[in-house]
Amino acid sequence: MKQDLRNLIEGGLTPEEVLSRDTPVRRSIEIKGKITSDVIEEISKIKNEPDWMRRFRLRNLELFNKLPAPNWLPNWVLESINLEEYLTYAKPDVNRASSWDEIPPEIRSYYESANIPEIEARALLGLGAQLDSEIIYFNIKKQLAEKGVVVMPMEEAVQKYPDLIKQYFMKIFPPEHKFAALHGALWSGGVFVYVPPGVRIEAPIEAFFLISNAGEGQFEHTLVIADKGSYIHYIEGCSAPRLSRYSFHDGMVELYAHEGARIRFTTVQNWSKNVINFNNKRAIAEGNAKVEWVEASIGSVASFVYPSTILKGEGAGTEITGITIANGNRHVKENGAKVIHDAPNTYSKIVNKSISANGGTAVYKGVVYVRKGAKYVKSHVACDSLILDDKSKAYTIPHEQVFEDTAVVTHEAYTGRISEDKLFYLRSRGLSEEEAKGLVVLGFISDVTEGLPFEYAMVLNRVISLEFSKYGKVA
Amino acid sequence: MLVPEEIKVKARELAGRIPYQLIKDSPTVKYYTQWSLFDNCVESNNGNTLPPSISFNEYDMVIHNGTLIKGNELTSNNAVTSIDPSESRIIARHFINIREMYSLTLGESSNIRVMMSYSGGGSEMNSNHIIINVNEGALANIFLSIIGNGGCGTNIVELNVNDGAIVNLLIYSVNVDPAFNLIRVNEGVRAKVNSYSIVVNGKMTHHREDYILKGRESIVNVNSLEVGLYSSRIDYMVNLTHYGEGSSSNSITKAIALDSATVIHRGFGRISDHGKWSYTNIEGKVFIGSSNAVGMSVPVIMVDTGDVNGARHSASDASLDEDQELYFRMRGLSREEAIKLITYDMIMNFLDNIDNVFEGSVNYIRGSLLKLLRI
Repeated sequence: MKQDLRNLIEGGLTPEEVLSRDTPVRRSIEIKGKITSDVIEEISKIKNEPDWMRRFRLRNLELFNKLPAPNWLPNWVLESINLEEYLTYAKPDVNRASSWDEIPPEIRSYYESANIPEIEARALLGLGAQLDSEIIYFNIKKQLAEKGVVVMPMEEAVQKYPDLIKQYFMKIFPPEHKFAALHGALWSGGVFVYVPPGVRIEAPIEAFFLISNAGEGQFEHTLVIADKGSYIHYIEGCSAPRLSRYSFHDGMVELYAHEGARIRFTTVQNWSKNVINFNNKRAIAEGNAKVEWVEASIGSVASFVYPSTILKGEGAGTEITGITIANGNRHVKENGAKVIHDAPNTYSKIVNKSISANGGTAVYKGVVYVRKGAKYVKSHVACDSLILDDKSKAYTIPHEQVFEDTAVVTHEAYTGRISEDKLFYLRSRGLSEEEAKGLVVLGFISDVTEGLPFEYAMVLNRVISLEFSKYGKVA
Repeated sequence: MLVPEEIKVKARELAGRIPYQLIKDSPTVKYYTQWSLFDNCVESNNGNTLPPSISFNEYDMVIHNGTLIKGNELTSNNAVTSIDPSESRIIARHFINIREMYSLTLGESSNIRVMMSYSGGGSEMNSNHIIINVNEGALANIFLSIIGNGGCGTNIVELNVNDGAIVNLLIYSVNVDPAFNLIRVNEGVRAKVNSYSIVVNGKMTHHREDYILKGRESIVNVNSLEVGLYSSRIDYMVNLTHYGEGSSSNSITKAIALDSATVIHRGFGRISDHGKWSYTNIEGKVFIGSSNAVGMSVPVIMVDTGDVNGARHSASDASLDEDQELYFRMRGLSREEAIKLITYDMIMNFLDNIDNVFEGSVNYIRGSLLKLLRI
């Protein structure tokens, strides 16, 4: 084995490439190359979409071509997103199943390694698993249908509920920047959820996204509509094996909380270290509705995610909680938040915890906007950053724009180094330096993980412990 | 000294080419200075205009429209600037406009009061530039007043605080038309600066203070007060940059936005990878005293090393809430009276906490502010 590795390295491969795994998941369809209207037509044809959706995609392509590249991204990230080299659509050669036994073992093993089937059995009311561009597993428990809850892959919803989709799809997050427009043109996969008035879904629903190959783009779209007085907790998990080249994720999540509804949306993003992650997330909350975002950004080499809520109705509120880990040289992790207070008596709370290690840069960028006339708004932002070594960086860039004199908007932040005393204490009790750091990090974010379902909190804790162990470097 | 021709040539070349701000506005990084108002200003530093009738007794040195009016301590010999015109268009335009820069060296124990004033008709732009060097181990108390009496102004002060020196700095800036004020403080090893800034009014006042902690264990404490009345617009910016190991900075800004004024506080604390074991703290509190006023505090921290003692910031933007209003009403005060009371209290509290070495100047400022506030 050692000799084999040596031969590979001497043959010109880097140790990273040797350790990487581009899984040979068989594809029935692959689309690659310049993104033209022919490509869009082809994707739309594969999905057998209605004409309005085909035209919608083409309009987004037009916008994508017109819009400038975002000037707020590091140059190396922009240069690494070479769309012509990515697979923009990859359909795995596997039929959609509702039982894990029907999934081929080599694919099932990915999900088993992330403990997904077990979590599904113990804690979830529904699960959709997406591999590359398509949902390959979908299983929803009966009681959801009995309550009138609609949960289905997005493509199916386009066929079955065109009026609802037309009303909400990319209306909450319009194609206002280049990558949002790209998403509109190429979207594939994702889940649609509608919760009827007054229905409360006590256990979470989850979607799990996996990128199996290097040089691939994933563009799933999630739309959750909670009707009046309803409640839903939706979890999304993201993962990828270690890849030899960059892959690109450009997903979108749109949430609409009608009057008095509550949506809790949790993301545990653990892409491998060769994924560039771009996720467009926005919610609208009507009167007395509440939207809670939990964004755990652990994996990927570069990540730009700003969960946003527009508080449109009086008394609406939002909580945005972020955990960011930038662990590795050149890793840039921007995990921000945006809240638009567009109505009186709305409230928001943003808590962001970031950890930078081994040359990583963690950035919080956030906006709290209070429009004139949105009286008696209350908003609080708290950002804490922990830096584990002298090569890493942490930037906190909050922005509060208040145009209403009755608003109370506050912000606090702290950036500090990991406490040597705590490390010494833990090491004197027999823990290695990595284990001690992992424990300190878990303690630092514990007030955030406490709010997660038990099974998920356990997974998250394990992932974070591994991230700071000697295995963290090889993912 | 007269500004060297090569600087002017460079400035002229740059002014038409470089932007006023290096980073474009985005939803998260935003500049609040309306630079278009400066575009209407015309360079015209002729130095002939006499200052309006201001009592010079309050000052030891006076420069008006770039010309020395009072105080022979200021010399134009050997005034060498460390500011490059390429930093921004407004600085390039300042160098095009300025005729002479003045310098002053302070040793041992010094108390000085300096006024920089500018006035002109309409869109005339006048500029002043002073460089103050504080010798090693010296103690200096500096009262610096920047007074605008109409027309556009650009005013730059460079303060070099050498190793072991201590400076108490009081800045009082009152503006009318568009004004660009830059105070740049460079600190040496174990140097210490205690700064108090009061920035009042102006159609568009861009007031920026850069504290560059180059020396090991250097310290700066900045206390600031912004007061915006009528339709004034103030963009006040404090930059704390740490290059020296073990350096420490602390900035606390209070701001009051009344009438239809827009008052912005931006604080930026950066600990570079050379500034290991440094500490920075930025706080901003904005009181919004009218439904037409806008107030914002934007503190930013950027830490480039894990070897850091700590970096923190906090900000709050608020007006009277319903409970506070009720409290005042129960005591017979209307909302307007309560706002006046809070404004008065914030200002007096700030002035009372300024170091006693500035007692005379503080009394002068107190009178001037009360007159402006109609209290």
